[in-house]
Parts: sequence; C-alpha cells; structure tokens
Amino acid sequence: MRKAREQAEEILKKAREEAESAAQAIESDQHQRKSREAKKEQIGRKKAEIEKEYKLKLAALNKVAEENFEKAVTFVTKEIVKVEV
Amino acid sequence: MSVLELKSEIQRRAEEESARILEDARKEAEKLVSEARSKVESLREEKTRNLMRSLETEERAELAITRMDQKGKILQAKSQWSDKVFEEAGKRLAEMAEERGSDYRELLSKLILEGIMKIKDKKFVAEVNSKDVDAIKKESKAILDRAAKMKNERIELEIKTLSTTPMGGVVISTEDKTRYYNNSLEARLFNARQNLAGEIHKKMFKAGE
Repeated sequence: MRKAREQAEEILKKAREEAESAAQAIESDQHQRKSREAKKEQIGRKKAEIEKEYKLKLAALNKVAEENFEKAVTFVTKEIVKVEV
Repeated sequence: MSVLELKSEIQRRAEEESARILEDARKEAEKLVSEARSKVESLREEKTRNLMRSLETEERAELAITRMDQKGKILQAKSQWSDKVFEEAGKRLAEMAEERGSDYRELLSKLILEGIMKIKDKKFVAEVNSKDVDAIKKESKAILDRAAKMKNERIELEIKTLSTTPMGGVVISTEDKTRYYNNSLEARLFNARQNLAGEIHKKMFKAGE
C-alpha cells in the first residue's frame, strides 16, 4: 500500500513538472519571436515602399516647380508692381 | 475462515486498494497534464492574439510616422520653392529699382498716387530712397495734378529721404504723421508673400500647365 502511494505520488509529481514545463514554454515561445521578427521585416519593407513613393513624388514636384518657376516669378513681380490708380 | 484464507483475503484487498490508488493517481495525472496543456494552448493563443494586435498597432504607428515624415519633406520642398519665387521676385524688383528706368519712375509715381488716394487728407509727405528723390521731384507736378483731379481738391506733397527703403518705393504719410501708407517695394513684397502664397502654390505645383 505504501509503495503504491509512493508510486502514485511520483506519477503526480511528474505530471506537475510536465504542466509547469509547458507553462514555461509560452514565455520563451519561438513562434512569438518569429512573428515579431516577420512583422518587423514587413514594416521595414512597407516603410521603404512609402519612402520610395514619396521620393518619386518629390522628384515630380521639383520637376514641375522647376518648369513653372519662371511663370510664378513673373506673376509675383507683376502683382507687386500692379498699382490701381 | 481459516488464518490462511484470512491472510489471502487481506492481501487481495490490499492489492486491489493499491491498484485503485495507482489508477486514481494515473487518472489524476492525466487530468492534470491535459488541463495544463489546454491552459497552455489557450494562453498561447491569447498571447499570440495580443502580440498580433500590438504588432498591428506598432505597424500602423510606424507607417503613419513614416508617411508624416515624407509629407513633411514634400511640404518643406514646396515652402522652399515658394521662398525661392519671392526671393527671385525681390531680386528682380531691386534690379528694376537700381536701373531707375522709365518703368520704375512710372511705378514710383503710381505708388505715390495710390498712397495719396488711400489716405483722406490733402497734405502729404512722400518718403523715398535717396536715389529716387530727384526723379520724384521731376515728376511731382504731374503727380500732384493727377492727385488733385482724382481727389477733386488741391494736394500738397513734400518729398523726403527715407533711409529704410533700400530697395525702393515710397512711404506716404500725412503731414502730421498720424496716418501712413507703406508702399515701399519691401512692404509690397511682404504683402505679396502673405496674399499670394496660395496662388503661387497653384501655379508652381500644378502639373501640365
């Protein structure tokens, strides 16, 4: 009887250890770490895409501004010397 | 029951009891492990959900910041172009004033007339750049005649030198200096910056025109 009780206690002890070990596994979950790394990479790619998109926008803006610069200066100069009397 | 039989019965019952204890322990252990696994799985799912939520938030925030930074660069570029336009316009006005050609002299007369028309009075002081004094003096009769005609009364004009209008133009004030109209080229350039910024943006950044 005593031996059976000892064996039973041993079985429960092992079961508790197994449960504890499973709980600890969550803390150092590789899947979570991989998810985080994958997301970081995804964010990096999207950021690069946005930067590229705006770099193109900026280049287009500078081109248009360069083309319209003279017209704008002429307009401003004329407006400044326009006197209604 | 003999002693032997009794002993055998006790042993059988003890074995049964041991087997029952072990069976109960095994069942308890299985239940414990199963519950733990289920709890771990549910915790893991919850943790994954939380992680994904926080990563999505992180992503939205980082991308929003990136977009804001980039939009800031676009706005900065627009502002720089706008500054460049007014800077260049200022240079051209300064050159025109420096040359003191007929266009500029005509402009000065108009600027004086405009100032006179803006202020309700008949005695005025026109303060101009020292380099413009002679030109204005030559034109003053014509200016006064036009002003008198427009205001329907006799107008008096005193010409003075103003050191604070290095570019050109004129500051018109009443004789007692209580009212004035700043028509210097600097003031007009400044006003143009305030009033034409929107128009300049349209002209500068509209493609295909």
